[in-house]
Amino acid sequence: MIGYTINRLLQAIPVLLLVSLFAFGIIYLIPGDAATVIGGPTATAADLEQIRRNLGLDKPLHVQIATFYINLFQGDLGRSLLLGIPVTEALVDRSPITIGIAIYSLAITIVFGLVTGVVAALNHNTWIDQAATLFALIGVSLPNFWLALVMIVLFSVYLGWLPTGGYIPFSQDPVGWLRTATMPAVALALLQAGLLTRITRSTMLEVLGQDYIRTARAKGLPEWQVIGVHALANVMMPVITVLGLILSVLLSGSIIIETIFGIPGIGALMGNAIMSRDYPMVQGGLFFITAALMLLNIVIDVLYTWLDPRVRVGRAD
Amino acid sequence: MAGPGQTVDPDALLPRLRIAARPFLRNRAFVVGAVLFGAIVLATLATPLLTDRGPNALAIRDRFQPPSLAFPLGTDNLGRDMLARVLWGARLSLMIGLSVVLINGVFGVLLGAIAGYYSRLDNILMRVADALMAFPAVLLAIGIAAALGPSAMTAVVALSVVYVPRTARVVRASVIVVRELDFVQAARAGGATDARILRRHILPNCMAPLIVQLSFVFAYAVLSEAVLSFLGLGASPTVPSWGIMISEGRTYLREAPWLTIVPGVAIAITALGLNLLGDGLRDVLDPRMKVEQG
Amino acid sequence: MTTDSPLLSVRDLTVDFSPGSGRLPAVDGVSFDIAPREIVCLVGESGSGKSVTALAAMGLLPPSAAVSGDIDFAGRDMTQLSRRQWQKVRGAEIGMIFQEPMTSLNPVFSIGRQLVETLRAHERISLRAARERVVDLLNDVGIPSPRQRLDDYPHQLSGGMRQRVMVAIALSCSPKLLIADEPTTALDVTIQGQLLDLLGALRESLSTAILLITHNMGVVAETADRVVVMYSGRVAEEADVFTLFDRPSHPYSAGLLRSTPNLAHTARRLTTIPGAMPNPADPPPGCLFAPRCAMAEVTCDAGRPAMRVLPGGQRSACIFAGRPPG
Repeated sequence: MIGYTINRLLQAIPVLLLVSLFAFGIIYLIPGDAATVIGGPTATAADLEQIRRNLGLDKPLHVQIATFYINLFQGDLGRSLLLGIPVTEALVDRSPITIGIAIYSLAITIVFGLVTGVVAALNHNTWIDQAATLFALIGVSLPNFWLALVMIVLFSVYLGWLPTGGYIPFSQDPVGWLRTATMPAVALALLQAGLLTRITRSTMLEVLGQDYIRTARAKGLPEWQVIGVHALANVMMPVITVLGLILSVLLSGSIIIETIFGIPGIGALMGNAIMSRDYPMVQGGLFFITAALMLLNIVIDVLYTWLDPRVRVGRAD
Repeated sequence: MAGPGQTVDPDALLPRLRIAARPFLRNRAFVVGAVLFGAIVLATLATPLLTDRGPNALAIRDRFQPPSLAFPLGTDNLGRDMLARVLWGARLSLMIGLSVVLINGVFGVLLGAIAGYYSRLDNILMRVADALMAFPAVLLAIGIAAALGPSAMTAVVALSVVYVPRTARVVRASVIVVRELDFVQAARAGGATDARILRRHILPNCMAPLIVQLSFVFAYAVLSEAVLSFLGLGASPTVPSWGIMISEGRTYLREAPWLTIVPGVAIAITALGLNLLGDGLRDVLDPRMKVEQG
Repeated sequence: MTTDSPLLSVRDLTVDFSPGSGRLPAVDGVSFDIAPREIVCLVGESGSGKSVTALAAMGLLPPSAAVSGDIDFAGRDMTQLSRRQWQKVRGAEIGMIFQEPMTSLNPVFSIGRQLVETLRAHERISLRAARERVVDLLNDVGIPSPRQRLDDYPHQLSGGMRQRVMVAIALSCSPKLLIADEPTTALDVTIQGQLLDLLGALRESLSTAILLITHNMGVVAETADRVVVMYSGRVAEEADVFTLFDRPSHPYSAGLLRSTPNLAHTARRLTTIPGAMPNPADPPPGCLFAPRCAMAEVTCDAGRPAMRVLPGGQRSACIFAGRPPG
């Protein structure tokens, strides 16, 4: 177990290296002169020189890369052009906000996705199954930012139940937090729940056709035990694997959703950085978010390995 | 199928196609998906027939008209006809989607085949693919698009970079399986070159998962392109794009909600049709196929 | 045959998966008895309906199956049982083991757990006591070091061992009847013998009747008290094992016996039964075996032959029964 974890972490290092390289390299994708793009049309030659110096663009490439990695190891991801504070600081400050909404969204996703997927599989080929499948399909086909706007129209403008945006920290007012976090969480959850429903349903259908389910029935176990214990235990494995994908989608979606709802989390931070060409922020944010996601994926992997006895306990014979 | 050197009987072609098409036509998901997506494609092609108003034709007098007989989808803040804008937006989305799919088809197959066939290159290629796939998809696309500057080409490049690794993975998985099959060994024993083996023997047998994957890639491309243009990172605002329309409509959410709702529905229908097509194709070709989602 | 009333009595069992389509039903008018402590072998090729019969006797057919006929177990009419009632019967009064030991156990639970849950589903017994019982059970089925094996997972055991675990599970509540659907087919030949010996020994110690389904006449010769031969969903012949091997009264049984390789006659070419099972969508008008039968005459195509009872209790669905086979 420990060995496996260490192994995965070691395997991740070359990938992480490449990731950091790509994140770093984003600036070099800019056609033409980066400084000009950043500075904008009003920048003077002196301004451009200043920008170049700040970003280290005036130094030779290998020096830039070296500086980048030296800073990286110290946790220094550069300085945000827009906010004037270190990138790392900005990211860490806003993480809790995004994490809070992410957890809320995941809770909705998991409950909804699992239940719908299981119910659909248990009622295979009935209208319940069709409805659930259709719902899941719509979930993965709707643009989530559009859904967010539609929800705002419905729940804020017409019904006045929820605020159009803004954020109230949980510590300050839990109910207020719920009110501001619900629409964002739901908008994010739609696509995720759709994915989860599809995977859960197809896995459940496969599991239900397995021989050991027939054995469980032949043993005279009550149906709730056959489905709820024997079947479900085998569905959980592939579902856990999908979590990684769902987290990835969640982080992607946060950018737009937080922007629309005015939530000061990491997503909005990235969104603003991108719109205002705050490249250090974009680079740092890309790396930070991706590295965090990779770590979470490793955790999920290890969790899966620990839970599946076929992997955890080797063959004895 | 006719083997090399044999001619195909033209008279037998049509009935053969009909027989081959039967399982697809019986699959509900495929049919509905084809109808939905087909409708969008047809509407795009038939745009001049469906409306004679240009997508950018200003008519300030008629601004903010809700959907009516005169303006089936209403008009926006500048009096532009929403129907025309949606149709032209369809054209853009489809073209970008198609471009991304084509690039995926070419590079995904190329890289996937190389990785699957040559184990030494496999390692490096898969590491790079892993690194690219480690980034949340839309985040990476946005990052690239932000660097390259807003344009339709940017959207295509950014989305291709994001999805080619996934497609390559799918192709690679098939190639790895097929390359071990007996008839490939036989071809190799017969002295066929690698390229020939790949082209004639291996790749034709990897088409099924690829086609399914490409349907889903098209769907994701349409959705992601909308995100990009919503953020102002896609095609320039002079070209109507569904994402931009939603973004512009946002300002008038209270007074003219249809400005936001209509383009979103269009996106949803297109993505839904493509996803259904992908599902249907997978069900017919091999229900147990595992495809890279997201 | 036996003076006690039969343990299991199947009368005119018909199972149709596509009612109204005109296709042959999977099981058509099957009747046979099993006495207490008896080992009855249900023999036939794949597609003969033997597995479906077994599933019907366990109430494990899908709801879409149209079932008619009578199934009486220990005097109770099983066809009218509710789902709850079936759950009480299965595992406790009738146990079943299946053909594929590799996939019949849940891979994510230990074998100890899967055994314990069977016990606790049917008896009020504490966890500790159940675990003790399970150790004994594993011992009875010949699994070495049972106490250490309790927490093993199925993938850690070989196929033969897993099948023994299945037997342990099926017999854990001392059922009166054990249904074994091709239990040895997926196992190595050497292990097959061990498993059959085990079943025989358990029949003695637990007084369990066994319905053993197989297509292997060797297995029949070794274990059966009586044999029911099925063909294309119907009973072709029923006899005690010695009579069957000595004087088969149905050409199909005779064909099966002839095609079994016999070490004593190594010089002879293996005989086969020509042809294939009838297409359910397009069945023969008369006797289902007639198209493949060397003895067939015109009368055979007139209608399905009725069961004849021969002296000694042997039953046969052939109009030539009683005549020596050709």
